[in-house]
Amino acid sequence: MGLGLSYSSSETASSDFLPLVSYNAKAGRLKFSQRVEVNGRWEKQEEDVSFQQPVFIADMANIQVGWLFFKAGMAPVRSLVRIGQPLPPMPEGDFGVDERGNAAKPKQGFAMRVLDANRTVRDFSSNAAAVLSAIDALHTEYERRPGDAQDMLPVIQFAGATELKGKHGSNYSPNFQIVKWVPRPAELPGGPPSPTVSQSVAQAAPAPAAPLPPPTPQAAKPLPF
Amino acid sequence: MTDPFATHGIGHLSASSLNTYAAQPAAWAMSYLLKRRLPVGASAHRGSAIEAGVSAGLFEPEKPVDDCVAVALAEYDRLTALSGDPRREAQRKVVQDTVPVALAELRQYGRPTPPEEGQHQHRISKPLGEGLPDLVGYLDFYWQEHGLVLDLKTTERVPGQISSAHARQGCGYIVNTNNICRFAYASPKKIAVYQLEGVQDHWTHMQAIAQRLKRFLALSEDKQELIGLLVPDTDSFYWSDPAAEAARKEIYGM
Repeated sequence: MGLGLSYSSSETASSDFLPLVSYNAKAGRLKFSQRVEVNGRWEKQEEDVSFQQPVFIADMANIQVGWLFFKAGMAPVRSLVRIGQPLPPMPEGDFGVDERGNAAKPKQGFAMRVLDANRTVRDFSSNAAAVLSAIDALHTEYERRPGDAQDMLPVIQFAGATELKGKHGSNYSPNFQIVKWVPRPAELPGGPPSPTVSQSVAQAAPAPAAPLPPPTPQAAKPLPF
Repeated sequence: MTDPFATHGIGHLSASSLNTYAAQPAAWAMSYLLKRRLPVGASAHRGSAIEAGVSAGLFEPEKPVDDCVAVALAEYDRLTALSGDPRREAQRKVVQDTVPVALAELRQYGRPTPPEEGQHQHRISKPLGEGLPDLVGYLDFYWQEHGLVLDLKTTERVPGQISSAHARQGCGYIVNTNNICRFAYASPKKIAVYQLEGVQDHWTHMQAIAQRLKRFLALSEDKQELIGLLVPDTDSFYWSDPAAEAARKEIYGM
């Protein structure tokens, strides 16, 4: 598939037109954007909300994961499934070259819907490692939510960014924190996800006794304390 | 004097907690004192995924190895779906290659004893000593007929011996019992199964760490004051995940 062609996605088409939340990991800035009609033409309007430290309700129950590709001048490529489902294959095609001259390709990322303080539903997606780590940590916290918050969604605050120096220069990890739990708002339909199938290790039948193989000889005794 | 553990909301200890305190107190304080759990990288998810695949193969001895690998890869994909770790793809290959190696050895042990109904793992709880919380742990695999506890470690290079941190972990599983403990170190190419020796010595070390942790916590009821006594080793693998590094900078300012 050539440049400029997007791949099919498991998302509904309407999500392509939702106002967006975007985070620029190279600059450490969080932006809200939407398409507005100006003199009969649709334009993208962006607002840097980094210093407002905005809060939003995140629909973590329905977070989607998979492959994302963003490049200026190209329609975004999104191949996503709801978390817990097997990942789709990475979309193949000619995506041009990246800033270092290597063949560009989609990267693993996420997309989720959030509801901002003005009750606007936005689409928040990213495939930046710094953002993924932050969202992964939040999702872990979401999975461990207290018992009385089982059917609730987290209210997340963007509390600035932390610089991380790497071999390709600095990136800024977003500092997201869960500030409270609230019931699912009507603007974010879609109840809790079906329970994840976990690997059960319990089986009914007792094990027949098998001879115990000898252990491997160790090189030395365990290290001293 | 009030119980420093209770003061700081610590109801029990684990081998992981005590080993973290011994190795990197600043990481311990962040995880267990401030309750800011350190994100884990693809390596840790690799271990969980391999364990899922091996568990499937041990509890279902007739299950084809390819199906067990598929279980492991599905679990890995689930766990790393939101991971930003650049080694994610490389570790996926390790998962794929390690499960068959581990099953070839461990299926000789027979089917493990299943945990109690509704549980995924055997839970153990051992008193560490007077004035100390209990040590709580979960067994990877247990064969009642052999009196054997086995802990599966995944690695890209098999070590020549059990590390002291692992020895402390294993001693908690079997101290004051007549069980034995083995550690299986599985890599994509080979596996070694070592038997833990010197259980009582390692248990004494574990108790000493717990006592020292108690004395540290007794210095102040103010968590931030305790944090202010610690210096993170910024080269430590505990901070290798970008989110962990960011949290460290936020909390320790370095």
